[in-house]
Amino acid sequence: MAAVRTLLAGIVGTGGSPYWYTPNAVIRSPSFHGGCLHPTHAVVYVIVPDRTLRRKESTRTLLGQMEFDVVALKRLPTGYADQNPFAAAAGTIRETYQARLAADVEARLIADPTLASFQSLGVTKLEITSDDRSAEDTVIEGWACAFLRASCEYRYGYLAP
Amino acid sequence: MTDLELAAELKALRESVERVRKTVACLAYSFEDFTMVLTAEAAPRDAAAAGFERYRARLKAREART
Repeated sequence: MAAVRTLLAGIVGTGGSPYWYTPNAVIRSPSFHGGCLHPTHAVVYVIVPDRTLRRKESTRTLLGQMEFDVVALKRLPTGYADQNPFAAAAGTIRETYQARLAADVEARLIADPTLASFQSLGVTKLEITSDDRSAEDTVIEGWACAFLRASCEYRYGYLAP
Repeated sequence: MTDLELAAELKALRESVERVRKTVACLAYSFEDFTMVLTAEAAPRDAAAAGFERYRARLKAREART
C-alpha cells in the first residue's frame, strides 16, 4: 500500500500526456467518508484497503492477493451545476473529470508491464478490476469522483513475508 | 333471524374483520418503512461514505454471484 501511495503521489499533470492532474494529497484511509474531502485541495487520491488472501503455492513460496480501492477525487469548478448539462462547456462535465482521474490512476499503476516499481515487493500481477463512475455511488456535491478497484498478486518465501 | 341468515351475517362479519386486519398490517408495514426512511435521512452519515458503502456492497454481491 505504501508503494502504491508513493507511486500515485508521483503523478505530475501535464494536460493529459501522460497525466491530467497533479494530486495535492494521496492518503491511506481505512474507509472513504466526508472527512477525506479536503477543504482546499483540488485533487486527492484515497487508498482504501480491502481483503488480503494468502495461499501456499509451493514448498517454499506463498502467494498473496491484496485488493484495494483507489478513490480519485477532483474538486469541481465553482458554480458547476449537474442539473443543467446544456450549460456545461466542452470538457467540463463531471464524467470528463472522472474519466481523466481514472486514466491517471490506471496509467500510473498498470502502464508499466514490468511492474518495476513493485518488483522488490515480489509483485507479479497488478490489475484494475473495476472502474465505477455511476451517479448513484459517486456523485458527491462539489466533487468529481471515481472508484477504482485494484487487485495485486505477490509471491514471497516463508522466511521473508 | 334464521340459522342461514345468522351464518351469512357471521361470514360477512368475519370477512370484514379480515379486511381490517390486512389494512392494519399494511399500515404497520408502511409505518415501519416510513420510520426506516426517516431514520436513514436523520442519520449523520455523509453522502461520500454512503456511496462508497453501496459500491463495496455491490462489488461483493457481484463476486458472490460468480
